[in-house]
Amino acid sequence: MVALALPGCRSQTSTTPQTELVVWGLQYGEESEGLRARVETFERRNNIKVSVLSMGAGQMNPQKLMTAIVGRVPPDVIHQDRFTIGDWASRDAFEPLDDLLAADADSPDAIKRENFYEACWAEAVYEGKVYAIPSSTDDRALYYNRTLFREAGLDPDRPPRTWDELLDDSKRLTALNPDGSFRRIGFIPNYGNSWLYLYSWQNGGEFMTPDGRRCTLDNPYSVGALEFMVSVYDALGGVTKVDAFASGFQAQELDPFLTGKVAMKIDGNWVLQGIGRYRPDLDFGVAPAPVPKERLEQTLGRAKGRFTGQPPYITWSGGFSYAIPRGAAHRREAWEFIKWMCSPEAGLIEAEAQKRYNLSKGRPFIPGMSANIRVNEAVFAQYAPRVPKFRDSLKLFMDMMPASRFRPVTFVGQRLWDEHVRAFDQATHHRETRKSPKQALAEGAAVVQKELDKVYGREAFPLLNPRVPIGIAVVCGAALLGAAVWRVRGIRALGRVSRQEAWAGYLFAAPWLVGFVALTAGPIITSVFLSFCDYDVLHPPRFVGMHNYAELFSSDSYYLRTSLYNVAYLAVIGIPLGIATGLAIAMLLNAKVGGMSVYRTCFYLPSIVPVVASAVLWAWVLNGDPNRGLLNAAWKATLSVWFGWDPPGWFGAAEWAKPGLIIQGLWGAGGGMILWLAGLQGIPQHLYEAAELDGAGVWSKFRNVTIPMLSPYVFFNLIMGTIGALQEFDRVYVLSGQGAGASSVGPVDSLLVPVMYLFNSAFKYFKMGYASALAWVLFIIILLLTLVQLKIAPRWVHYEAEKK
Amino acid sequence: MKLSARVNRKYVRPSLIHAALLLGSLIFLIPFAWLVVTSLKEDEDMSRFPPVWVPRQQTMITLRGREVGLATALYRGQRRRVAVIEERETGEQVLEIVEAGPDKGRVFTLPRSEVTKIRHIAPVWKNYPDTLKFLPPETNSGLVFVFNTVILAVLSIIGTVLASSMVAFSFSRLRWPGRDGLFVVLLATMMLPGAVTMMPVFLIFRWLGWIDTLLPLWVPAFFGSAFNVFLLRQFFLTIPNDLEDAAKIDGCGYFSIYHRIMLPLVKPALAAITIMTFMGAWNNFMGPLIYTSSPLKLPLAYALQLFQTAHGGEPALLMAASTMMMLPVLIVFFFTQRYFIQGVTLTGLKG
Repeated sequence: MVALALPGCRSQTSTTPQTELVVWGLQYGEESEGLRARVETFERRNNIKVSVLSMGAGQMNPQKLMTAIVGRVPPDVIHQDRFTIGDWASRDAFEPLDDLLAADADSPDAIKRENFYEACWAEAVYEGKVYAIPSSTDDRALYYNRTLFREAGLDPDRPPRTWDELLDDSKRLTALNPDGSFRRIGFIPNYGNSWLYLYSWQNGGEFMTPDGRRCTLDNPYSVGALEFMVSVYDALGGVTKVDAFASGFQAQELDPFLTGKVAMKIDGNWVLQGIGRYRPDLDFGVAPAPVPKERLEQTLGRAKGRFTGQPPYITWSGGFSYAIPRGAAHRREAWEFIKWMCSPEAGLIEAEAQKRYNLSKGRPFIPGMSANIRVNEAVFAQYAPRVPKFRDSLKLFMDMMPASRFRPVTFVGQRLWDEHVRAFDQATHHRETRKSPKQALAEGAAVVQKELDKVYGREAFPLLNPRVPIGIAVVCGAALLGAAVWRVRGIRALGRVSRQEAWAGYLFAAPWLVGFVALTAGPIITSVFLSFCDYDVLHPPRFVGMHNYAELFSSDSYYLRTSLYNVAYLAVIGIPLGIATGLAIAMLLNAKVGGMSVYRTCFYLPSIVPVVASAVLWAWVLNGDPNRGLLNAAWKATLSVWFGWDPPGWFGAAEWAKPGLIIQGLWGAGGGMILWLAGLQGIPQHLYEAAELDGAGVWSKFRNVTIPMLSPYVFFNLIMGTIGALQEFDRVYVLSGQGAGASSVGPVDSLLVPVMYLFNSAFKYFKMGYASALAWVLFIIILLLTLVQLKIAPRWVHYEAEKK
Repeated sequence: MKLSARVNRKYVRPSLIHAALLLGSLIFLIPFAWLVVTSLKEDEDMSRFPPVWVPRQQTMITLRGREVGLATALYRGQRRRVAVIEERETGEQVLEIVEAGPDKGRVFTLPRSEVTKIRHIAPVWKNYPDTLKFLPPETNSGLVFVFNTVILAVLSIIGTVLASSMVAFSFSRLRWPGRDGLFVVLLATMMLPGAVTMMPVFLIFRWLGWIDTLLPLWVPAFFGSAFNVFLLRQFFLTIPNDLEDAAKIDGCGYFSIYHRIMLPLVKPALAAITIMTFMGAWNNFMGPLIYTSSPLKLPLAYALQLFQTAHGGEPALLMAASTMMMLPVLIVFFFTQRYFIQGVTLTGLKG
């Protein structure tokens, strides 16, 4: 042992200290044995230690990246969704890579543009400069279940090629249960991964003008595409009904395509891996996604028109890429790392390691796709699956890549995406919103256009002179200090005892006073300033006066109104229910019966379930499909039978999303029960005894002893509940990752809460100034509510002692 | 009449309470039970409906020195007991008949979906070691995460309990100029969403050189948290003046009043704060995410995120990790709850 260990020690001390390369956005996991092999080979060959950090689901948290770049402690390499590269590049968050590309243009391992798919490369170029090197890629095609095709009397060798055929086949493949609910759906336009983007491109629609100055989300071809999507939903009986069925579709093992609940879907090449792992015997086929009939006639047929000269079928590709953040400490090593990770050799190492791992788990290996054509060729030649259906499918996905489109590279990319999702959501829910596809898209286009105009017109606003905030901060500080000194001087006027008490008061309050001055006051003043600025965090702020506030109350008042309505709903219904449940549980748990510590633990359990796990749990409990969701299964067996009530769609239905959230909150009421229990324990027993002597019953004791004695806790819960409800965020944020409708804020914005909107403004759209303004509006509302509550408190809150 | 009232008090009411508690516990436990069950299930049992509540595993036998799974499959129209001797990439399985009879040892091939596994009730304990193996090796099977989290929790609890109780004492039992105004300010600090002050706060900590350390996560606890100050103030206000006055007559100073009289009286509240702070530190996700980057400085809540991957992930491992993470908290809660049950009755308040 000793002999073995020694040479290792020596070799480590003799070499120069290892450089540590920090890479964010890569994730080690069971699907990434190959990644580990690639990184380890790099470490060994270059004597560099690579430290990898991810945020789960392979995504980087934007807050983390933003604070790190602003704080000048960025990672060396960031692995980022290509679609967001334009957003970050436009804010100078990433370094252009052109000089590095040019410097080793002649070396054998040089990165060459012609080796990459055009769509992948172009997606990482912003204003003529290369900001990232594409790594992985994906594209989309139609998957169809051949067995179900045969059962429905369709030819399994002739999948639909046009939208009309798709709709016809879908109708024939859709099957209902005797009670009218879906047993199977032929095709759901937005199930899988297609969105409006793909349909729109198929129909010749574009989302931005080539110069990037105008948003054309509402162009007639995109409107036509959205009309097609809406018509398919309507043919199925409306989006809410479809969503209730579809809310059961979660992870790969639950994939309804594998279980035959969905006969066709447009989805990415990654789905092949899921099929290989969970249902390798599924008889399926893959074909290019169907296109408008006109397109086929003008490309494959003789007709002439706007599609002439274009490929008949197109796809949409996305994927990840490597970038170097501004201020990275090891730029050279970072570049070497990127070059290695994108090389064919690394691709082969990855495939080998991943294949070995998969086989050890009894799963077939189906390679993913790289943005580098050479990598794909090398890997396909050696590691293509031997089973024909997988091999042919993968080949089709690769062959489609040259005909792929990508989302426009623009600094409003995220906003454009979110607005397009919102437009889809509003148009498909036309029964609730009364909006036509054209209207919905026009509204989205207007929002994006406003953002575009603001950025192009931002030079008109003056840079904020740093002396102004510093000056005002000094004045504020002096005023505060003056007020404090004046207050303290006032103490002298007091008597000796009062004076001592006052000094003791300051001394005991000192921890908070110090913390407030050091850590809270400054940031709060800063956020006041920022609310009057246009500030994207990475550029110096520009003074815009009341503009942010004006925007909030005029053009963006929809968001403000909707989000405030949503929290009002959650607060008015949720808080009293929460208080009642917490108190009821605590009173039960305060009873004197045996086994109490076990009961208490049971009730407390839900509040300690980690958020991530609780999101997964609740997606299961509140699943809209009665054949999947636990609560709806119970509902169907009881309420539906007794009263004929249909189970609600919960997070999939606009009017049930908020009640769902409230129910979820009640489950955690056990956490609050500790406080109630502590309060109940504090009620002197003699009060009850006295009441009993007076002949008081259970209710009378509760009404006249318990409630008054607990009123300080009710008051506390009310205030905290109000503050908490208006700042509701975590749960909605986590839920959005668990299939709460198509958009991240619930169907028809039913879960759009102010802090969610604030978070998106600040960290997705880079509008920190606007977010600060929103925060202050929210602050004022909460403050007013709290002051009102403090004001009425003396009328109903009973304190044993209070010094006025 | 009298007897029935006694019976009522002695038997009927407790059983009603028990019934209500049992029902409530059941409702509150179901999702958690599912979490634990999921952590012990096989991959393919994850998504069945109605859900599989008892974890099962395929029965294995040793065939010619090799571990193989048992199943049943149709062979010439008859259901036979077979061993799965090979998995093909096509999704087909090579089967060998193992039941006694003329066909014993015969080998044939069927698609996986036509083979029914023979299962017996058995939790998949292996998910737990798998969960730990899944973590990067330098984290010592996650021990580093536990260590970080414990440090964080202990320091946060000490700071919060000490500072919050002092500040709350000052805001509730002492009179000083500017008190009520500052109390509104204290409440107000909770009302501004954290997202907007995050960046300036981050810059302050960077200026202090505290980025990628645990300091920004526990030092603020020693300044008291507004929530806990408010909570304790509510408790302090419920204490009658008589006790304090008596102490003053006995010549107690303010510190003695705080330390000897007030703190013991709010023990249940302090226990509640302790457990809530512990929970907060244990599950804190956003703070560590923003301030720490080195894998060796991350706490547990972060590690959980590792089990969610882009397309799917491993529900069994996520749930196993969640269970392991919750276990210490459960134990702590189970054994400490008596403190806020007995807290008050130990003091001089009774009667």
